Amino acid sequence: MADAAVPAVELAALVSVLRLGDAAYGVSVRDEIEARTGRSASVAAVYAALERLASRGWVESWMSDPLPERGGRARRHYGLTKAGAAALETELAGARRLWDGVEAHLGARAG
Amino acid sequence: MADRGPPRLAAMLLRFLLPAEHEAPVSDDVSERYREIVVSRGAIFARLWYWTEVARSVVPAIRLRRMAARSRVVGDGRTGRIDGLLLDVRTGYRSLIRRPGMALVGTGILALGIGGTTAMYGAVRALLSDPFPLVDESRVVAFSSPGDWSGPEFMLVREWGGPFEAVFAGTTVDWTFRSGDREARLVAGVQATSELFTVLGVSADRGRVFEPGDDEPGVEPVVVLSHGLWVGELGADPDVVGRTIVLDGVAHTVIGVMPEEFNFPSPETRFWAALPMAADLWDYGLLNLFGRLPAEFEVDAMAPRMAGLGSLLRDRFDYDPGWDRTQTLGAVPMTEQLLGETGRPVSLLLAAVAILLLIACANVSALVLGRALERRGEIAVRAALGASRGRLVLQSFIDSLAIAVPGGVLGGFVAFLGFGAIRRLLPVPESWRASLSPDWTLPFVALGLTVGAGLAIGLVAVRAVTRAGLEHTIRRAGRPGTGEGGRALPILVVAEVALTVVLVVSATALARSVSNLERRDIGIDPAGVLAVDVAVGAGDFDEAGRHDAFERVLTRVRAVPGVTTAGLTQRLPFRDAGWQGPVRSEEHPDVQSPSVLWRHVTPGYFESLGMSVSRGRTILESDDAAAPGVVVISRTLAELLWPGRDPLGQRMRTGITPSGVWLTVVGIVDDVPMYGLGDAIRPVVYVPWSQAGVTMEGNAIVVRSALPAVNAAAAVRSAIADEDSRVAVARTQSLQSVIGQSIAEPRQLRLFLNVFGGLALLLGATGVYGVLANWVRGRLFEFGVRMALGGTPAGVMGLVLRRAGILVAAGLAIGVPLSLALSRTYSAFLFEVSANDGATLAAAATVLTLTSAVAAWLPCRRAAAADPIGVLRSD
Repeated sequence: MADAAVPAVELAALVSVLRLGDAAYGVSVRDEIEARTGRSASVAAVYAALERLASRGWVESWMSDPLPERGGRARRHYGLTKAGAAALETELAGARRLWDGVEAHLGARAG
Repeated sequence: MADRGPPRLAAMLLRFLLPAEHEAPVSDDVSERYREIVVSRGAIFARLWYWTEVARSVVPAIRLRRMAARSRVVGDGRTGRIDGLLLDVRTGYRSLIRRPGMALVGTGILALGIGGTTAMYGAVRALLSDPFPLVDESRVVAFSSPGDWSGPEFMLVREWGGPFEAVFAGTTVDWTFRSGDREARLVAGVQATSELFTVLGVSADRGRVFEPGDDEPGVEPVVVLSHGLWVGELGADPDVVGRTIVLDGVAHTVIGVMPEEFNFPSPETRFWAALPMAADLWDYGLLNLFGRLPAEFEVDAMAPRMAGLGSLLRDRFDYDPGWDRTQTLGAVPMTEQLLGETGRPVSLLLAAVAILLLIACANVSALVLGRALERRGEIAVRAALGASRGRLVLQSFIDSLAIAVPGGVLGGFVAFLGFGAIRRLLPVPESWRASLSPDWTLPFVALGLTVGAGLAIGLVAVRAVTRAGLEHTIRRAGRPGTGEGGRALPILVVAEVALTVVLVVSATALARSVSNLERRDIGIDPAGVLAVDVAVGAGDFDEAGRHDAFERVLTRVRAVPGVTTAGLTQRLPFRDAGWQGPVRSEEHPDVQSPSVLWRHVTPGYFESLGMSVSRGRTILESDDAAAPGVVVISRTLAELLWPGRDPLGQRMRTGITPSGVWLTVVGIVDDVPMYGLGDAIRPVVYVPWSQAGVTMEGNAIVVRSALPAVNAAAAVRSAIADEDSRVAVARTQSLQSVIGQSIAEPRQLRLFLNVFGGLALLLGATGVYGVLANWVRGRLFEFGVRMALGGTPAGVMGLVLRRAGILVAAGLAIGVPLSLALSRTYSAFLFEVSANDGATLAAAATVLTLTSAVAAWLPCRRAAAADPIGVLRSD
């Protein structure tokens, strides 16, 4: 699974789950993606990406206790698994290798 | 802030798109964002946003679904919609297994209802839907006045033709049949003109059917055999065509064998013999006429054509104005003529068993509903956790189908296995009994009833679930029987009680009717009397020889050791009809009496039956052909002809005796219901056998003996065979069983209605019990408080009984008028009792009330045992 390329949406979702920690659920993941990439996704699309990550074993989900407010509901929360963290490291290392020194080259061309 | 929720249609659409396990999280998340946008950007923008969000969710939702489906294949424990359904079925069955009592009771009740209805439908279908499988019944009609047509009249009809493609004349006969050295036996058959098979449109399986000319007088007699006679009596002889058999003492050539299914006019018919026809034959008129219409013939066009035939007949023949059938000549469909009302008792039973099925459905509905009400807590929790209403409705249907489907399968087996058993007991004509058999439609009927019952039961439960407000339910989840759904239960039970009233009233009416019949004064003493049907073939004796043969046989029977007396008649009372006509007294020769039964009897007849001669004398050996004509008459005839005066010595004449001969009344005997126990009293004239002027080929000997019936029958049979082997003993029967058979139909009806009524009572009682138990359980707290405040157990029991009384009273209030309305359907089967008389209704109401009281007893005790402290603590 790890050798297949990970689509950008899923990668963005995975990073967001990491950043959000305990606060990762549909709406917050969506906002995080939008804030970081400037691309707005529908809630359903975010869930599709998260479920895909779950099927890879990179995230896990659970239902939260009902929110402490009137008519409060339970949310489906997501969290990074060990495999997810390892996958992120791999992706990050790969990305670093890919991007290493790119700024210098871009500056040379611009100059 | 009224409009805080997202657009409803869009929200529904979104939930519809999503797989079950993501339905709630996703749509809740979307709603959360929606509410934020309402606050920040306003409601209109938020709605627009919501709709866009739904539109953008379509593709991801499909992806989510696909993933959910894949994960199910892997089996990681999460479930989707279809799996959810299977889970619901599993849940349904698991909870049924947890409460096997309810499951078994429900299944058993439905199995009986569905099985009984299916089997009864099978019987009705066999009799009513297509009783003559090889005949196109729509094209064959019977002329009115069956059994009244003479040969000359038929010759005119044959010549006239009218709209008919062909017309035949025929009559049923019981003929002696001899093959090889075996003694003669009687077999039932038909004698008809050559058009018989043309009219019916049926051809032979083997050999040929009649051809024109087969019915010419003087030609060699020919006969077509039934499949049954060919196989049973002639060993399925492949060379049977052309063989000669002796029927009615005359050699007949076999020309064909009919297919097994051919059963005209009844399944017991064993042969069809050609009837020699000419204008000078059959002038005393015993024939039936049947005609075949062209395919395109309009039934409306029939009346004028038959009226035309009527005037033709009047031109040619003389008709007595009182008996002129040509005025009202008509034609009826053949099935109506041959089967007529015979399907009515089974149709009645079909209706009764259908009512029973309805009661069973109501009962099972109450069971399922009770379960649904008990599970309202669970249902409410599931609804709160996001189970859709549709899912809950589905669950209710599955619960009901979980009972209906096994009930239906079991019912199918009940119908199939029970068919043979109930066939023997059904009130159908004996000649058709053996031919009733389950056919291919029955499984479909059972299936249809199962689905119908399942849906009906499910609907009740569904209504209860959907009408119970969920939050309301949660709050009350711990206290069954107090919610809104609880109202459906009493309504069901009242309906059940009302239907039970209908069955119990009809069963009571039938039971009273049969006991009236059994207690009826019948004017004879049947104990120790044996009835022996004897017959001779026309070819074996001339009329004088016949008379002599029967005389010899009778003398021989009287000599059998143990026989006290014996007599002979041409028509056995309680069984045989016919031989009737008007009489005239000497004083008023112009006044014609109503129809009077004409019975030929030998000396010893009255003595053998134990009939008492109230005035005058009995018939003696000296009343022979040479002596002056005398008659003994029944009391009713005496009162009819000579009211208030002494009939002895009066003179009368009949249409059957030679004109100009006056017969002197020498005795009066008690009335006997001649056509069976259920029949009205008819006037009878008894004529000395030797003075009757005619000797029939078939007669009945009545024997009074001290022997047990079986021994007497054997002794009489061997005495007759010993005297003359050409005299056939058709059957021997105790007179008690003849009388019993004359009320077989009401007895069979009573049996079935008693069983149905009993089952209905049982179901009704269960229903009443269920409602009361449920009600008491819901009010244990209240009862506890009452007791704590000084209420007595008796007072609490009174409350329960009052509740029971309301249920039964409501059921009676609906059921009694309903039974009155339906009583017309079975009043024809009642004897000296009416379905709507007070005693019948009171008896039924009493039975119902007592049964309900028994059903109320257990809930009463539970209520009275309500423990104030325990109840208060438990809540």
